Amino acid sequence: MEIFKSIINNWSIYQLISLAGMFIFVLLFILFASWVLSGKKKEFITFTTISLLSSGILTVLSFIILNQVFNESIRYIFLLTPIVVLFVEIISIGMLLGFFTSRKMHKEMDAYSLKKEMFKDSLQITVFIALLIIAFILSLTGTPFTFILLTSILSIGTIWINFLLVSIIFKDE
Amino acid sequence: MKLKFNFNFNFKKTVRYVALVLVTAMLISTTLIALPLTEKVSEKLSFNLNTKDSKYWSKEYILKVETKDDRDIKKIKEVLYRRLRGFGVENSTIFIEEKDESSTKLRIVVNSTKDPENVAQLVANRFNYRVVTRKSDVDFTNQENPLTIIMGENYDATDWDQEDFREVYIPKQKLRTSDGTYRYFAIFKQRASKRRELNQFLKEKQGETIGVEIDGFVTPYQVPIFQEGSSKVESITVGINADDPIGAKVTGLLYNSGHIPVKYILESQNDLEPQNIRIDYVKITIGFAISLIAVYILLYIFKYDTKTSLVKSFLATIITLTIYLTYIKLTQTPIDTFLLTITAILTTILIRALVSNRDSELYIVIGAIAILITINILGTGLMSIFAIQMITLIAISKLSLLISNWYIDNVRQV
Repeated sequence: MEIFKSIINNWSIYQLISLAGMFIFVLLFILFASWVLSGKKKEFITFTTISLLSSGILTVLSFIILNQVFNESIRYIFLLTPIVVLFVEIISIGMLLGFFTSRKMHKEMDAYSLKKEMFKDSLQITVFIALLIIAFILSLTGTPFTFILLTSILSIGTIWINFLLVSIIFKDE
Repeated sequence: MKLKFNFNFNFKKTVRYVALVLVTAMLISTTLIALPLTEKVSEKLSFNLNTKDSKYWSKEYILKVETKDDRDIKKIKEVLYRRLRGFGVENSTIFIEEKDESSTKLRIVVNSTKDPENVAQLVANRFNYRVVTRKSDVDFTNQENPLTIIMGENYDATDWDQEDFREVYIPKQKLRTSDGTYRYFAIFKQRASKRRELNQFLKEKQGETIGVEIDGFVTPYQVPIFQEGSSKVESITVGINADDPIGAKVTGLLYNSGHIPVKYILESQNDLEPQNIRIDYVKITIGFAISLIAVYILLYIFKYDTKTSLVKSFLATIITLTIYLTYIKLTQTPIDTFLLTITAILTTILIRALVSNRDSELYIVIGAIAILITINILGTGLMSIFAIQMITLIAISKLSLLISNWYIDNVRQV
């Protein structure tokens, strides 16, 4: 595919290694943090791994679809898309982790309350992203418009994938 | 008639009232400064937003490199990328254009707000350096040919080149020269394994004038006389042609970004259309403010959280954004308005998340800062700028949350 050929031919090895290293470090940091802070819960590792991998795969797929189907060139501004999606992931995972650890301490933890809290937080963030982006996107055209739209869709998608994962992975013991 | 004075001075209450008044005044003034178009009110102080939008320029540089070897070309790309990244160029791409029998053309496209002359220096100069000694048969005192002293052809090569030095350090401050003026100097720090050898070499040359040759031009260096019994290790120190800190930074990048293995020339440079994103800052501010109020009204109507919590997070958002905008306006910090809008939206979401999930505050803040620091160190161009802006906004938002909590609690008691 042209995107990957272009990256391999035009990026320097230093650039490739530093970006790859950045994403790998971030992935491992989030995994390690959620494992330690959740009290070494297997479900959290599973949730965090699938969540981060799915958002990464979705981001790459969306670039490919944008390039191949819509003939949009993936310019340098799109390098910010995975960063913004990652930031939203941190907020989503952080909120879940905080709720889990506080309820666990009070021995009030159950899958239903976790799912309910996740739904409430996901809806809140979705409303925020949707309304704030509308104000911004109306004054944009071309590549900036595509970038903002894509990043918002991926961010909202990530949040709801996390909600789905919580529903599937976390069950009462 | 007797007058009774009931004088009950409550010191704590008075201090609280005064503090409330001061914080309110600060809020009002930062909001006024942060709003668009208020810079038109005062002629004495300029607090217009210093946007980078009109400062972007774009050029392509065509380099002709005297090699077809893929490894050498990769190495050249590495070094050029490191130089441009180190200088803070927002966006640069290096394309391999065409290869013929003995050479390759590289096309470097730069899109940046940095000084074009400095960027051209980083791209056009190979900056291969080595230590040289004077040829014995050349007359360096000839007044009729003052260029003798700087021409590389009048010097002999030594075994000392950039492979033997781990770093060329350029101090941030100018150093005093022998004639009383100040200039920037480059200090060549040798590798630990070569220390003794270099010291021995300099002892042999003590009192003589040697030089550092860079791309065919020599900067002379007078080797000092070693004191008897002195074990001090000397470093080669030469002056550089830089008048300001940015020039010194460019020279530092040229010295330290790596060794370009083959010769190349800058064949041509052409102006291109800049690839930046311009947005109407005034429209975006109005739209953002309306959206922010709409979001909080929606959350209030649907009883998403308590009124106090919503007010605290709304106030904290306003305080964070107004303090940040006031700071960048008063310091005239150049800013990408597009990036500013994205960071403002993310900060708004973050503050709401922190207020509605107090249990998660520590995890989110520490996690976000750790990851943003990583992005700043390892990311490229816009990523690093984004990371720094977000770290600043997160720090201000933590302060704003404290202020808004204190403010709401104390206003209630008034």
